[in-house]
Amino acid sequence: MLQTIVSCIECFFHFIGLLFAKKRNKGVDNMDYTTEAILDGIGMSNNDVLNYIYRKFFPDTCRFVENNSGTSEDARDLFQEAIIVIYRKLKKAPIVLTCNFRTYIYSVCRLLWLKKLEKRDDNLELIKSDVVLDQQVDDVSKSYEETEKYRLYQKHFKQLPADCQEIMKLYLEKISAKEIAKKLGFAGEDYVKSRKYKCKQTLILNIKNDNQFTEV
Amino acid sequence: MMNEKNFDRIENYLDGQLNENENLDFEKDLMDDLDLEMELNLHNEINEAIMEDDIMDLRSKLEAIDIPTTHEEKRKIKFLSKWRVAAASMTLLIGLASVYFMLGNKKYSNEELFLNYYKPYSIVINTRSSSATDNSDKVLEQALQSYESKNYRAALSLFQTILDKDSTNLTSNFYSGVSNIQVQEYPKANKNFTRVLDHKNNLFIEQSEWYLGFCYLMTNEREKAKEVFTAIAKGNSFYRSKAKEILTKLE
Repeated sequence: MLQTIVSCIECFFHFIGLLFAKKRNKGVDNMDYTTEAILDGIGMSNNDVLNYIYRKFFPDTCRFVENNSGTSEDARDLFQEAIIVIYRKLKKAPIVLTCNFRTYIYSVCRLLWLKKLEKRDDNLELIKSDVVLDQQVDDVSKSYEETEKYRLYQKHFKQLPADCQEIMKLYLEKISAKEIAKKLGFAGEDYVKSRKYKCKQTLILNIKNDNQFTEV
Repeated sequence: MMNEKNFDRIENYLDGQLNENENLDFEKDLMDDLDLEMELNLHNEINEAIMEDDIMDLRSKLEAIDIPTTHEEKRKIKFLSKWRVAAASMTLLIGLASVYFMLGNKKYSNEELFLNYYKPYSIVINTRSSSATDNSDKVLEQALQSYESKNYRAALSLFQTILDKDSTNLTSNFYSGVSNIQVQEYPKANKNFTRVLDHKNNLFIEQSEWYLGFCYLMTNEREKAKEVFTAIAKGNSFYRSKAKEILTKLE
């Protein structure tokens, strides 16, 4: 009987807690972040900030892409790459903006979309050049090329069998073949070595056979 | 195309496994062999990419962000989660059954061995990131996602669209095989694994041998199962010790 009462009370508090949590979330929903806070949030992969960025700024990009011979799927892809490009830039050095974040991410997306269209050999006249915007994102191209290349490598890496992924990572962490064998329960050092060799060989072959490989 | 010797040298060079002379030779060769240099760069970049856990995480997070979906998609999601519940209860049932059999200490039937030793191959690292741009890549990613969320029937039909175009596709055959076991289509699974094994040189050989053994158990071809597990037990496979255990119980 006592137990039932205790659990009822627990339930009640839990419910109250949920109510408050909901309210708090609502607060976050309506919050506006400063440009610095957004950049910090990207640097830390903060989920709230990332959600905010999508909610606030994705529609602009989507409209832009759709108006320039792309689909909403392309827009989603592009927006994702733009955030990763910004993240990569932040990892190297702090970004100081002279415009607000909305203008910045729009310019990055615009430039990346231009590059995509170049590759597709589409009609480029659609997008007029904008000198002011371009100054802010001059160095984006290089980050983007790296992002595209690494994205291809990572895609194929993730398609390898799970044991391959683990062995290759541990190898790169400079863990000895002997320790890897012990850790993952493999027969022995030689097995790990030959498996790693085979995994890497397959990975490289798959990457080279990807149509995208020649592009990047 | 890179020859095997150079592949080895590059890998050993990057892993710091070359001795001093070999190292010098390699660096000398790099000076006048542009192909070798490009290949080294590729290996190096791939190593860097593999270690970018943060970027892969960020990509998954971005991929998971909800952009308002249409009604139809929402219904599909609901439907998928129903399947997930069904799959979870199935797993629980199998789990309970195996505990029951283990406590029972009876002579082992094919089904009992299956319940004790079989478990679907797991994708450890999440594949949620839809980094694919090519259409067939997207299908493969979706198929692997369905597989990962234990939605084996959906996975099977997606893998099938890939196999319709290329019946020898290794990844699709392997995961179709496991999915077919999950939905108790053992002869179909057998066909999938046989295709992987026929290819002879790929990363799914050990796994396919192992799962093929279970297909034979479940189609009551005990002798064939024995042959498969014997071959595994004699080899250098990851599943060697488990195969040995199974064999003692099959005898």
